[in-house]
Amino acid sequence: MRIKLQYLCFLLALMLSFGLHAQSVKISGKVTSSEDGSGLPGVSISIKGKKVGTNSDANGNYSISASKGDVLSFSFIGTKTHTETVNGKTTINVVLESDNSELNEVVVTALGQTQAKRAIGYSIQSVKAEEIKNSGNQNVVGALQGKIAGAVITGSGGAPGAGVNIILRGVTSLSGSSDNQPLFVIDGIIISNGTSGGNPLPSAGSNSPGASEQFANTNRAADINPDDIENISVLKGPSATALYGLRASNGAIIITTKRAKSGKMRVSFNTSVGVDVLGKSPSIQTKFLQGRFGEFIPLNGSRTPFQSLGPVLDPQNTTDRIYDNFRGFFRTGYSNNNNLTITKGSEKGNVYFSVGRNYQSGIVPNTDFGRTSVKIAGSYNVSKKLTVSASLNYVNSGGNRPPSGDKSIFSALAYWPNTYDVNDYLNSDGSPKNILPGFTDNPRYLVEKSPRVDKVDRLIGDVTLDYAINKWLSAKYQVTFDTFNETRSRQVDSTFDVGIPVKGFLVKEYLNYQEWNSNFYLTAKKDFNSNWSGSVMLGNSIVNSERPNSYYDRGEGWKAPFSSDISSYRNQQTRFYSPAHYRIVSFFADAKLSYKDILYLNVTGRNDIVSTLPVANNSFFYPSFSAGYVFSEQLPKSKILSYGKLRASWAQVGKGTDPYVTGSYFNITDNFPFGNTVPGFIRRTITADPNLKPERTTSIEIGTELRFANNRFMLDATYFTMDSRDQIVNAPVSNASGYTNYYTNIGLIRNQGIELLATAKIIQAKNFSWDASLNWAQTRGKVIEMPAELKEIAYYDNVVGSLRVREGSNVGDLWGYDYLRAPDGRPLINATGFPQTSTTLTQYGNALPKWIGGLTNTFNYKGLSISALLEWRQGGDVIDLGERNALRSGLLEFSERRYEQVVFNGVVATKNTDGTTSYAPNTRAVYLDDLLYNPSSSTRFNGWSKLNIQDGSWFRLRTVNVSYQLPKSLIGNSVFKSGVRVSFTGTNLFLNTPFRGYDPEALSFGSGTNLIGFVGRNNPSTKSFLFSVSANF
Amino acid sequence: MKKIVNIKAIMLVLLSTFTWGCKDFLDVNVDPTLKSDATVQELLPTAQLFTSETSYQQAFVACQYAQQIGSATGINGADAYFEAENASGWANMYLNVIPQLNTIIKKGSSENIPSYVGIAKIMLAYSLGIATTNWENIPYSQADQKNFSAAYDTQQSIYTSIQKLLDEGIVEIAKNTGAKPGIDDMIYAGDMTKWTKLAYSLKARYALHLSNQNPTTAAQTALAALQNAMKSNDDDFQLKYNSKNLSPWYSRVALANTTSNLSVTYSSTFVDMMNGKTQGVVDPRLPLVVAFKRGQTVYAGSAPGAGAGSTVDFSTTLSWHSTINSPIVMMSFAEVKAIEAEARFLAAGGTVSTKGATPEAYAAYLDLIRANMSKVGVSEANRNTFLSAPQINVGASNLTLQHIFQEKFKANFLIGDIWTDLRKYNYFDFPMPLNVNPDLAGKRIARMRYPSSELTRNAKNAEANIKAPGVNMWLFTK
Repeated sequence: MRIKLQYLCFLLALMLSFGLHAQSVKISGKVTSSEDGSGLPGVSISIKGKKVGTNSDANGNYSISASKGDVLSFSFIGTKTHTETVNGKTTINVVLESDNSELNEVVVTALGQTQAKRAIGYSIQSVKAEEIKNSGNQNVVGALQGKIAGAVITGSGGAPGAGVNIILRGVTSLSGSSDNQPLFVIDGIIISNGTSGGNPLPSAGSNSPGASEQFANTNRAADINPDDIENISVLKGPSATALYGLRASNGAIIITTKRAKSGKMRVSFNTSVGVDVLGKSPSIQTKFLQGRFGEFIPLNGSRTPFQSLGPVLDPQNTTDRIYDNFRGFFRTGYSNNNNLTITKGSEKGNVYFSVGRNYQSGIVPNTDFGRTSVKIAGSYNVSKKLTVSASLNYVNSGGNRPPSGDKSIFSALAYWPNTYDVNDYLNSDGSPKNILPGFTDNPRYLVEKSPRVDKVDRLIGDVTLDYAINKWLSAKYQVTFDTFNETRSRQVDSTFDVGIPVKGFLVKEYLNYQEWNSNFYLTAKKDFNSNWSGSVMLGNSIVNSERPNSYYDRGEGWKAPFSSDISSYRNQQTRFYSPAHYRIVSFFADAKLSYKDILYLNVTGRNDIVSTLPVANNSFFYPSFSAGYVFSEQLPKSKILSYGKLRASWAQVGKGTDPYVTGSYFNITDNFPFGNTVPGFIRRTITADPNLKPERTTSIEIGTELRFANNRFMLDATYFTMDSRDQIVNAPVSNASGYTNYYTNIGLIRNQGIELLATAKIIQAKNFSWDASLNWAQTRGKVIEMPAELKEIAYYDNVVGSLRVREGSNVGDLWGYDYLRAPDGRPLINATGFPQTSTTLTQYGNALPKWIGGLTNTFNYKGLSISALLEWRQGGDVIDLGERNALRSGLLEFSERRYEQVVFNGVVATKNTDGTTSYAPNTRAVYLDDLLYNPSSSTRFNGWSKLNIQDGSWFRLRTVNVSYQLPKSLIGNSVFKSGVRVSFTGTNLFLNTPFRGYDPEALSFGSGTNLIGFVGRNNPSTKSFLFSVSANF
Repeated sequence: MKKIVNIKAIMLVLLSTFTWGCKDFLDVNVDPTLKSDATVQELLPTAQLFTSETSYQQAFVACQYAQQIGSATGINGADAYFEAENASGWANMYLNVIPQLNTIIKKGSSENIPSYVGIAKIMLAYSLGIATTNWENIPYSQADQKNFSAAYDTQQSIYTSIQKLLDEGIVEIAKNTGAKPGIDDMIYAGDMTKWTKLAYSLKARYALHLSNQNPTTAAQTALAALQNAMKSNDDDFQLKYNSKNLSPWYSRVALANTTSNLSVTYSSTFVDMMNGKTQGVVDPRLPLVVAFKRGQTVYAGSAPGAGAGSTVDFSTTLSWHSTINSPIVMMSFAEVKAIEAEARFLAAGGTVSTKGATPEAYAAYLDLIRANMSKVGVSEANRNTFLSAPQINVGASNLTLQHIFQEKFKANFLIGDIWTDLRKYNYFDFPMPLNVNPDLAGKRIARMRYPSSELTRNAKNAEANIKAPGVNMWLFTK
């Protein structure tokens, strides 16, 4: 620590030596927008070749000291950079024109710094408010789908408020529990995008592997109102996020929200209504009735008719009907969003106020999600030097969640015979009508009577002080907080199959989250001479994050009086969730140096001290270096190549571990006190290496940005390689050690990838334009090293397949059971005439896509704009957890081949007396019936890896947006004179996939998990239509 | 310039304050919702519950191999000698039982509470007995030491350790000082004399396991221990369940049956031994222990390996072993009597092919029947009828090991140790299962397979000890 302190002092001293000889005239003025004449806050004003700079205040006013002959440069996001030569005038007002060339684009980088894109030595991509709005998606993460090269964004189904999973540049962490999610930052406020799985399972009677599978829990970034967002910057790799440190080791999503412009009060109102319908669904068989082996099994007999392997449907028979319950179960969902924004700015400050309400009813009956967001933000100029700004956002969200996972609506649907309408679920007296008593619940009854109800109250806010100490030195202090409390409850009374083992249960969860951050920055800028300029920023950040007082109450054994209160349960228990309290203290420095407008160098260093690692290893330093070289500046002006830049960077990011892993603890034994009287405790089965070290990810990134034909075409290419070393892995260990899991540093994962971005202005006419933007990315992850004592890590096992890694395997590899085969590869046919699967797992398929791509075409004609986003995902295999049940119960179209006599291709093995085996072609004829589709052994066709691990590739029309800005001539000087815009958005209108089930984009395990590649037990994705109107007053 | 110096000074002070204050500020890495320590009173109930669980998990597999129960879900089950890992039994023992027992022994020794040390050692010996009869060589001397590649102890050394632990347990309890358990002893409610009786009973059980190696020594060691063993059904080593903590055969088998989640049912070998087919006399325990499926009236179990075909099932109310409160019986007075009968038979020079035993051996054989009948609630009249049936009341001179075994087989229903007897006597005349596991090439199943987690996580040691499923354990070698 002492050495690092000296290092910091040295930088401090270096910084303080700047600018001692500055002398000049004071120039002031106002920067306004050419679009509406409003003052532009945060415009970067610098003196060319001197690197003295300032920013305009909240109203667009600025003042700067400059000498005669200096050239002032004004730059701002989305506008052309404007230059003015100082000629003796002390007031220079500037109008900035919006810039479509994007050449002088300013982007938001780590810690909210705004920088000219040309000065950056790594890949960065930003998404504007308009694109987020046009996506029609109310989840910020979902709104990014198809727009970011290298981001794999996958939804967890079409339930309202379902989580969305985002992985930037591949999976870097091997631990099954880690989520590989990037850091989310809104206006400098680090917010939680966590997805809390919780543990709402009864003590007995469910086969579910974990609660995360049960509900598509919301990723908490969904609490953010998309209408408040101005811009999103996506920082993909360590080079871009080194300044954020360990928490951004999976990248960062930097969200900048709208702020008020100076001038008169502005009011805008936006409303939309939408319709959601079920997207793709599995094809059902329509030829056979309920039963087994062709025999009809009636209702209410001694056998339960949960299979549709009965006799052929007689078309003459008018009483028998086939119902497609895979579609019929779902209804049409509706959504309604309303958002009101009021802004006002003046000389002394500005205020932004918004209130938004979003409500969506799901396609699964009795499910919904609502969000109310109120936000107030503003800034106040206390003096010329000091500006205070603050924001506060209150969000209330929640709704009724459908029970998914095992023993839920989706497993029940897979057993419901085609001959009965699943929506016929109540008797006339209101009691449940179940044709499969003692086998499963009617899924409709399950969701109508036993949804999970959740509710979140959240507050996000900050207070920021900006202080211009002198002309070249400024300080900023920001304190931020994010806090929410969530309650979830679900009652499963004893009328449910799933409630029988414990005679009904109630689970109420109370989850709290609190985080505050303190950030301090000191920035100095200096121009050394007309060619060289530079800046240094020093900073400190302190993080405190915890989930205090989070627990669940569980009641089992429903008794009179039958209420939904915990007191109506005989056995009650309360268990606390880990408060996961951690703190991080960090010091960082960022030095930039530029030569003319040609060469840009950037060095950063950060030292984190974390609470979660052993004291001896809890402080760690990591640097980054990047360079941008605009080589076209040194070439003769060319009509072909209008701009060319090379980027290169090397960066390292360190990462700590989870809280409390290093201690030794005793926990209450599950389901104790025994008999409600005898308490019991148990030693925790997780332990850690006492010398746990931070894990390090080292990245090398090179790239180029080329623009051609006067910026009409642009190509941006990036290659990266990322080594994650000394991984802190929560490794499963031999139970004979007394433990299940051991946190230790092991292994090396290497991710490599290519990201391409190309844009073209295909047509640029006076009234018509056609723009296209294409992104494409490929990422490969490989496990290079594993520790000697660990052969593999299995994330999830299922009878039909599992997700696991071994040394040398690719991240995301899926494993399953192939047919037993003769040495020449032909399947072995067993004595019953069917092929039989091995009981040893072999690798087959990979859950991560081979490549992903998105193509956006935008057409503008006068006020009309049409934009369409096509998205591809090639590869990305998936295991459909629902299909196997539906196949076994004879519901699927591909089980329609029945009662044919066939001979399976393959060989029969015979053991010879000398111990060798000979193989003869199979000749045994078999019938295609229950023996194929529903054999009593899992080592048959329906356990075969090549059946169960399916290609989950898709090509879809993600969104189509048509919007129209009413012409001035129509609205004239009415109250709507500031503009009225109507738009229509369609989502998922077209989907093409070889996958047999519902839309493969519905992760079974929801968001926030490494358990990718499993689908089919979650709410299917939807097709949506959204119509919206926005008006400005 | 002065201003700058001031700022510099302030910055330095601030930075140093931050740095030196860091240590305390970062000291938050302790989970307040967990305890850093637990008392022996809090650990004992956990160890007892999971000892019972481990016994259930052993029985679920071993009693299929032993043909007491069989698969109700089709072929290729354990009843057809397909290999089972019993991974949950392994995990329960090493994670939930042994760490708690070792902690009790450590704390009990330093805090001078020998009663707890004694109980823990006896329970540890019992757990090792379960594990070594499942898997033969197992990690013990290097287990529960945070050693992630623990070596396996040989079965021979495990048997030595079992006897040593039991002797030490008896000595500890005899010290008779310090705190005694109360309700935290969910098995014997703090009655230390019963723990001592259990220790001696277990000494007899594990001594007689070795009778193939030296019948006389094994029998005499067992008989010596039996003098201080259990004296009545009240001494049974069992955990009673309740309406909160449901009996495993109830919640995982009988109750699951009611929701069509079938697992196991009664084997025809067991049902036939009760319904008169095997013995020629109907056992009055039959209706108390075995329940009919809906609409059935004739008792028939599922033939080993058939995977279907039984007319009977575990019931949540009608079968003694699978009601909500049914105990998991781990060792009973009836078994003590069975051990006595067998030991006396062997001590007198009897073998599996000889006939005739001492009157004491015969008395023990009858006591074995009486004890279990009274335990499951057979009326005295029915019991006497059965005991006087010629097929049962064979007289000392006609008694065979098979007679003793058959009664032990019925009395030890759902106690996994019965599989040890079968392996010791090479499965007597039990039928070879249908659809039998072809890998065994005609042999009987001899062991459970190490859990696959061991093969992936402790590969070197597991691979050094793994043997084919039909290879006999050291225990049964002559």
